Amino acid sequence: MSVSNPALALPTSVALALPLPTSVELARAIAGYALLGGVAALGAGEAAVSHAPVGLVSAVGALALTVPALLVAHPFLTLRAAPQALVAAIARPFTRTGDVALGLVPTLLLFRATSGLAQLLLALMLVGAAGLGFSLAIRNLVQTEADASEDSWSVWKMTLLAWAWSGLAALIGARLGIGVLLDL
Amino acid sequence: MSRPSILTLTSQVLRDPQAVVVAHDTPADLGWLAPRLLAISGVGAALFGAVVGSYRGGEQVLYAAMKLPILLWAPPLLALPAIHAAWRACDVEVSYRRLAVASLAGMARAGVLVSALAPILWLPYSVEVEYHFSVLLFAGMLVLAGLPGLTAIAGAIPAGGHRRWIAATGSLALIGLLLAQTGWLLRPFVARPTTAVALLRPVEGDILSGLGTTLTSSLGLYGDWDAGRDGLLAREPR
Repeated sequence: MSVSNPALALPTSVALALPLPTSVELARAIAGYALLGGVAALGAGEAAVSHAPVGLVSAVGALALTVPALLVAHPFLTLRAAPQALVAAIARPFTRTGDVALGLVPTLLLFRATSGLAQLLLALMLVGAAGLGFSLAIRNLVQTEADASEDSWSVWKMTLLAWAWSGLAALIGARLGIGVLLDL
Repeated sequence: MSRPSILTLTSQVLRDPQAVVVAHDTPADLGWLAPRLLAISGVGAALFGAVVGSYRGGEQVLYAAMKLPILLWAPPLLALPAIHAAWRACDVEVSYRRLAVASLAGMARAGVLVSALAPILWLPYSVEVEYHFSVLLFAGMLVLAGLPGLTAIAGAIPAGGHRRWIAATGSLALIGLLLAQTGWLLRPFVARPTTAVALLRPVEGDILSGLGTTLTSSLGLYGDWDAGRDGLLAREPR
């Protein structure tokens, strides 16, 4: 069956500009978010132990709850990029910001050992990592669509979709993080 | 390849730190270079520290000379993993080795420059300027010498990537934060002439509470400082 409207044609081949992350990269990112929360809770008593997964829950939870919605909205808006390419465009910033979280562990450890600023810094670090991750994810998503589509209208739609997705993911991530901290 | 003498290396670090970074790109180079660059920065910072300690005099000269190199070394070393990851997140591939050599070159550059500022600091200290002004002078000169050191690190980052400003701003903020907290932990550097000499003060409070107290004190509002002891290493006074 031939498809006369090119907007309705399914992507036939998937050439990923960005590779999907390896299991090692994913594990390192998860370890980064988990350790960052763990360090902030170190030696702070029983109540703080339940707060340790705040980084991991907000980062992984926000993606798990919003990426499927993005994958549904994307073809609904007749955009052309392949779902695998979209997942790669989001997964790469997640693994890279997880590395940043892992790199921030020594700094947070210093502050946890010598001051009462660790919780405040943890919040700032998570917000910073999220900001970096969303900024890179939006750029990757728009670039992925630009590679797959030829018309500027699709790129414009993808830009709006990427911003809407990142706004939703940020709100859900914040809700999950606050939920962990306040035991909601 | 012939190795430069320590004096030549000092000159290279001042003139063109990027050339030092580019010329030493193997693990063997790092092993040879690291102790020399640490020694250059350590000697420079210790000289400056001795002048800082001269405000109080006595043992404080030695204590400040011992602590200043640590103040220079600790922030870049602690921040290095996060800085590396942040640039990588922005699709700028820079090796740990290159970043480490650049950090060492930056520290050496800052150390030599800060030692050159020592006589300028000594002059007002020798006429016993007011305490708060002497602390400001000390901090200002550290910043003045530290900025060219940071440019040495920034210069080692290759071109390309996306959203570079985020990694650059984050790296700068992280080093600044670590410098502030390390300085807080290693205080006192400038001690009042009337106070007892101490190598380190107890782990108490934090840089934000310290800055708040200094600000209110400078406005003439004196009150009790609540030295919150929240850190793992903090101990309640006996």
